[in-house]
Amino acid sequence: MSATHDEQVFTNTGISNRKLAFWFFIASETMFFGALLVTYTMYAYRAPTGPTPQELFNIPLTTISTFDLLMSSLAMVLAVHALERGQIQKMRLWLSVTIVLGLGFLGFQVYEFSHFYHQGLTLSGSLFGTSFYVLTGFHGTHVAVGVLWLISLLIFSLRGGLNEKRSLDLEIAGLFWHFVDIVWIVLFTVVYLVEGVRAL
Amino acid sequence: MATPASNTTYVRIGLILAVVTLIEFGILYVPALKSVAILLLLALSIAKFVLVVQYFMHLRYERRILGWVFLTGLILSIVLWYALWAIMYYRIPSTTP
Repeated sequence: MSATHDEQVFTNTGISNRKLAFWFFIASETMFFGALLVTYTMYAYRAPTGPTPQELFNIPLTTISTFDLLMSSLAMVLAVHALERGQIQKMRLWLSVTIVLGLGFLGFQVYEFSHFYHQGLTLSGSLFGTSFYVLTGFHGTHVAVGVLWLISLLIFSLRGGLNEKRSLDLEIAGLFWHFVDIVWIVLFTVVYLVEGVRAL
Repeated sequence: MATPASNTTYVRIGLILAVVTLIEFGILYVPALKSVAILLLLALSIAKFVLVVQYFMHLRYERRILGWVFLTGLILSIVLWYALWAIMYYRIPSTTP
């Protein structure tokens, strides 16, 4: 069964071309982040110079930011669900919550980066610094792009342009947002929690 | 057509994700689990990943082709992971006496 609120489209697959194309994009992004993650796991512990992950990571704080991003995903799916049912006000509320939580996550990341920088971890100072900043920086950039996308949809909605007939617009933005979330689920474990286990 | 899941289902999934994250954090404070901690954390991470993909991204309600598209990207990135590790750590046996 095709889930959703697809526009009336007649394609070979029975799925809107936009949605299919976006899933291909997500698959390519999966490979992109896979490459960055494997680079991190290969290089983070080579030729250690400067501060180490164990000296820097604040796992309780990162757990809170992870919780923040997971809840933003919940708010996003509730926004899509509300729009599918024509509940425009509810959709705007949940979309606003998603944006605020997304901005909160970015705030955590800005704090973390500036803290690490002041502790001596720079982009070019060590292999750990380079691979860490590139990996988490690209993720943060995706979050920022997602927030801008959601803000533009909220403005579009306030101007009366987003309704249940155009719910695919919001659904695709939601797919991007959830993708950013699943990437973080993996990063949180591989980058931060594994480091916490080493310290046990 | 709207997704079959209800708001209650989404909120339940959200709660499960929050609780699992809390458990992941808690594991770091139980030294007795050190030998299995990484396996546990990976399993919990995969569980969260699957829940978000299946419910929030609606993959369980979609046509299978979308799942295959996503799985292809995922498998290729795992192959890439293995290939890069192999390149990095493979050592050609020395032939000189």
